[in-house]
Amino acid sequence: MKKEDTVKLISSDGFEFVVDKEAAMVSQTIRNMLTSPGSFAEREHGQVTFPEISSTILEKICQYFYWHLEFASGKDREFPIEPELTLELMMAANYLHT
Amino acid sequence: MKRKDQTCLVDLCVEKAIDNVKYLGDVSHVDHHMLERILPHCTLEQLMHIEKSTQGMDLSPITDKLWKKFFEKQFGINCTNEVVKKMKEKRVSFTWLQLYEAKVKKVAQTENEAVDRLAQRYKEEDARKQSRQIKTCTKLPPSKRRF
Repeated sequence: MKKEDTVKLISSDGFEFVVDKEAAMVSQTIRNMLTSPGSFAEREHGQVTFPEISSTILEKICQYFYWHLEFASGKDREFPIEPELTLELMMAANYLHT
Repeated sequence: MKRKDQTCLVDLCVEKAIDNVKYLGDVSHVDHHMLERILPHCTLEQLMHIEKSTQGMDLSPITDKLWKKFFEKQFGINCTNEVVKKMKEKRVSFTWLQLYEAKVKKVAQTENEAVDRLAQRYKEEDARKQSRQIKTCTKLPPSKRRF
């Protein structure tokens, strides 16, 4: 995997998740950060920090990105969401336009 | 198969939250537009629990219409209209949660008074029966003496 094809997502508690750019761009917010014109730090360094998203939630979101890509390519299986994470995940998803 | 627009994570979470609405408590950190989608699926008890658990955020813009529905269901449309009329006449305004709670309290109070009245009547009736009971007398009539 080439470095330029990946992006590093950093949670509020400092965990780093390296994911495919294609997967990360499932999020409209991340897509905008990485593609908007100008030299935004996110675009230059290929990393985005989320000071309000914990590692537990960010991990789940990364799983969702890949689930979404699989789903779009025709693989129909349910995306599991733990009840205790629901509200926090919903807020993060809302922020990420996912 | 689900349509593509149904795979949005926010929607999946909203669905999950609706399925698990009984576990919801403090929702003060959740956006209004998402609560608008979730809270109408609550029962009266669940909504009451959420209201009491959510301090520091006024849920009435979302829940007022829900409480009006509960009020109407429990106390009837006539009573609801009467409340609306009274509020207009007196030019006061309360949330339907406040009105619901006040009504429940009033009904409970009326019930208690009725129970007390009934208990009092039973007591009085018992006392009346008691007073009419045949009592054995221990006093003996004076013996007839022969002179």
